[in-house]
Amino acid sequence: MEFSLNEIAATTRKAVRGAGYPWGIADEAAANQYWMASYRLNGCPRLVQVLQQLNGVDHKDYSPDCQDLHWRSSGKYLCPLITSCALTDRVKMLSENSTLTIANVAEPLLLIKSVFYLASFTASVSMRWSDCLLVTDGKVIKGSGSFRNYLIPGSGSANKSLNGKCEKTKTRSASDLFEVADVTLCMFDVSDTATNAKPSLSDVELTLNERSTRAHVDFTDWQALDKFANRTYAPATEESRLKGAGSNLSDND
Amino acid sequence: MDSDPGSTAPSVPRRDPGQIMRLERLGSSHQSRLSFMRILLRRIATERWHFSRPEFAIDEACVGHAVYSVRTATRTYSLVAFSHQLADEMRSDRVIAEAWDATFALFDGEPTAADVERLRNNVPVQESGRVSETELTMSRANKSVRLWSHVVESLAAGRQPELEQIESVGYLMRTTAVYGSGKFGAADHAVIAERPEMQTSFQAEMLTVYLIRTFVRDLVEHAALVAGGDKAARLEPVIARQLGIGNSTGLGMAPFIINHPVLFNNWLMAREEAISRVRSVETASESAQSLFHAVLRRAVLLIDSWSSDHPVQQKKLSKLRADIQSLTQHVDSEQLMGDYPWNRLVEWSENSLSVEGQELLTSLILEPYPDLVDGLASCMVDPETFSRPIDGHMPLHELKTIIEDRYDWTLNIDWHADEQHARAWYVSEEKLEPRLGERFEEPLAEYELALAPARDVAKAYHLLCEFSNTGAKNGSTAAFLLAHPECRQAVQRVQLNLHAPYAEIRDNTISAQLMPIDMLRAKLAFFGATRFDPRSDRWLRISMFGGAPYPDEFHDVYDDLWVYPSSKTSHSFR
Repeated sequence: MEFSLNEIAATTRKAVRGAGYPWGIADEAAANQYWMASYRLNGCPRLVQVLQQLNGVDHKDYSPDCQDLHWRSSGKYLCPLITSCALTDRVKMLSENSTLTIANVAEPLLLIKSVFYLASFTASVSMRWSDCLLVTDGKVIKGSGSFRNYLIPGSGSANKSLNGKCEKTKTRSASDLFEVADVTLCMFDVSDTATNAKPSLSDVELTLNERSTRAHVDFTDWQALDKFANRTYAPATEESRLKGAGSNLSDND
Repeated sequence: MDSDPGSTAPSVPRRDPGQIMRLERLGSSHQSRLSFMRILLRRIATERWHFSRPEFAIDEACVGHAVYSVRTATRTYSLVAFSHQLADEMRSDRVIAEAWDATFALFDGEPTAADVERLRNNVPVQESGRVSETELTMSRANKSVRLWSHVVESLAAGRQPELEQIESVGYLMRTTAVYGSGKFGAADHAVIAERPEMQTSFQAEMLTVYLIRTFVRDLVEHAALVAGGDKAARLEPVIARQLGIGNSTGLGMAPFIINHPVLFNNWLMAREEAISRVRSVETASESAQSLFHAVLRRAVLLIDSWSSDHPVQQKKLSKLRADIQSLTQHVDSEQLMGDYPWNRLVEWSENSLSVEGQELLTSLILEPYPDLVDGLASCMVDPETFSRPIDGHMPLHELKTIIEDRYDWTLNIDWHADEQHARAWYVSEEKLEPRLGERFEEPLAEYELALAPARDVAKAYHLLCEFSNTGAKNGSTAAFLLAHPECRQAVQRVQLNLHAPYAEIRDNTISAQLMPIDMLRAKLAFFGATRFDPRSDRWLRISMFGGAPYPDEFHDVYDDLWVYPSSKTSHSFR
């Protein structure tokens, strides 16, 4: 189903809040989903996985310990919504030419906007997890490996924006396995020839440099988000109908 | 001679947010040169937009559709209007309604027959339908039954309607929602944000309402023609001009000004900058003085036409009428001579007029100075809605100091007292619209919306003090937020306030004393609404575009002061 990006953000915000996160985390998750959809990244199924897997848990156990450059959780894995906020909050504390490892992140794709922001603030950043690599300078994102599997299954315009190099993308949906992986972020200066050993922007296959204004979301994923969003609505009563909205006057005047 | 607007910074500073951001004052706001309706009509006049009515397929029962197009220099926008038959028992202005007298979409371009059919299957059912990226807004309206019948019957009999009746209502139809910004599948604001004519806030919505007004005039004449045949009269232009479009606005609008703090700041900053520039004018030219006198006379007529049955508004109106009399006498005796006349006038008003009167004056003094004011319209935007990162590097002691400096007003509230958090904002599952409930009478806490920044910042402050005392005194904001993610929004707002001093309403939005209509009026005044008529403490009716020229009336001379009735004669035309 096709949605406006504001619909995706609004539903995400309510769904994340409905899943028990504070409003501030929900705001950031909404902004992330809006941004990802504009880059044709298929964030909704990844978010559904997180909300379902972490349903009813104490989020503190899934928050990173950020004391050094090896972030980890005390629980089984890290929540990407909380970790993404922690990363965004720390961009000024992460210097160029350093490497940050984040162990056992659930659905690592959901960190991508904070990585993009980190790069726009400091230098270019590479992000690796499983067999996936992406590099961003805060302006464009290039990816290789299985990165293409995270793209929203393509419309014609989506394929065109991928510099003509995109092959038919594989669809991932919420029924896919819940992904947990170690993530490595390298902050480096692209103009520095001494860092040639690190991935350069020409290594990769996909450039997402045209923003999209709409996104297709799998109906099952949308329903799942809606179900979480519904938890934020108070059941209606006749009292709330009249008092809550403050009207019981006739409109035939 | 007037001061040169661009040469130096204004000598009179912008008014203090501590004075401006109180709900009592925000709830006394008036339209001004920087209102979104007036910005739109100025552009239409300047750029000579071309209007047409490609279709008017309305039958004898007033059912059917019509298309109104407007061509700018670079593109076309079209209102697709559907007219329906609605039984009286179905007519409700509440958002829970399911049928309306008329429904609308603003189409981005010129719709084909297939587009109109697609919209016919979706727009009449509003929230239950789906529109697409070619639609910029979706809206609906209900008749003012009393005035509609009177106007149709009069015109059908070959007479003009009674002016008293026109004046007492002010509109033939009132909209009950104008949805934009991606709702129900429409185009996101980002799609049109780069277009010069859509840059200022809510321009697509204002254009929608403006075109609806034209459709409603045509529809009432059509109804009269059907009823009266050859005998039927057309609505005299001078009467048609008095008619605006009404709007019923409830709590759905209130969260916007809290949820868009930077945009709200930018609206207020532009207005306050305009006021500061005019107050900094050293001497008022004769033409500026005479224009002000003329506007003041016309403002008296506008205020005279404003009535309300709500006791709070009645009291405010009675003070405003006394204020405008004092103001007229004061400027007559002083004649706006001498140095810094506008600044002296504003200073005088602060000791002599009610808050309604003071805010009316700050709006009126902008009128003689389009060169100082109108350019600020381009600042009333927020291009970064979705990108407000928190500065996690900020040391906690710095964050604490900012709260103490800028949020002292909320730290002084006794948050243990029930009356300070008696209310809770929530969304009802019935129609997914915001409501305001009694926290201690209904089980609402778990559904509460984040619309109480005053309480949340105070709470964050106390947690921050505790966190600092546990040895993290030199810690970072990032560390604090990892331990207290529930404080993210509050911390973000505090940091935004550093650059956006008018972002925060400096009042408690969940107290037992809250008048939600103050929040609604703060926003509606920026739209350019007039005749605020509260129907309870949480919804009100307003009028939009009353007095504005119709598309065929722009001609060569455009009266930018259309919002003020031009004379007693035309006002009471018979």
